[in-house]
Amino acid sequence: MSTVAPVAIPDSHKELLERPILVSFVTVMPSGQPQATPTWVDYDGTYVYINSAKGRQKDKNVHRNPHVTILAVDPDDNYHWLEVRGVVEEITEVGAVDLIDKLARKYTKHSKYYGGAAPAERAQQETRITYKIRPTHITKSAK
Amino acid sequence: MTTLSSTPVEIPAGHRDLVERPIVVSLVTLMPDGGPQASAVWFSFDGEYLWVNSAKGRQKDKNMRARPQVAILSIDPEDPYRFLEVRGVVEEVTEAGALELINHLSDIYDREPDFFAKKPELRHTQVRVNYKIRPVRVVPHGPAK
Repeated sequence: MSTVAPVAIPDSHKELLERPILVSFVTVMPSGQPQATPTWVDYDGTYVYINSAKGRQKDKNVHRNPHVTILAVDPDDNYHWLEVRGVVEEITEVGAVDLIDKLARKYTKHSKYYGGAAPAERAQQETRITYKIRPTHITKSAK
Repeated sequence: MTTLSSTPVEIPAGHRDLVERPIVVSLVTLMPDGGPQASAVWFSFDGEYLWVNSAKGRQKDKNMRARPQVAILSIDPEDPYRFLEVRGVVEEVTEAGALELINHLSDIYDREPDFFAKKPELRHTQVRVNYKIRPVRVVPHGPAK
């Protein structure tokens, strides 16, 4: 699986993942029905990362069906958008709190997630988890 | 299909503004391999059903004709923690009234009552299509208004 090369995201649309734009993250329910939630996103230039908490619906979904998609629409220009379809290649708790802290800095004025963007006590109530997504297909706006 | 299962699930009053305002939403359809496909679309709400409009032959058109399970995500542009997810089933796919709907949506979202005014080359070639979506599960999030 890891031998498959990720599809490259065009330079013209990379910024849609690099700016703090809330994206739609879509997973598939056991019934086959798609499920969509707004999420923060991280991008390392190759892979796309989503962070969630263990046991949530999307967490259950990606464990069963790794096919996901991410839609980023420019809030300042709805005709500028990017869809990244992909496969969840890794699911890990390692570094997941670091990632949600990094995302809190990207998306909010807080320096950390728990005790910053989210109540401190939630750190004891949930386990963060990271999905590493390999882009398999890109669609994008003309502009 | 039983009568009960064909009744649209109601959109809660506290989040109804998210289907009544001209918000560009994410429409999710299913690819032949069962993987999701998402695109940004205009939409309309008639009090019970959600309506989206596309063009014949597009990926989402093919997907919705073959696999009617869809999802729509509407996020409050002023408060991203307020959103509404509507999972639904495409109950009707029709060309009748589709031009009227896209012109209506173009008027509301783009202040251009003639959708094809900006793309005259498509006026006589593109076939618009309406999709009537019955909500089967509604997930509101964040403060009710």
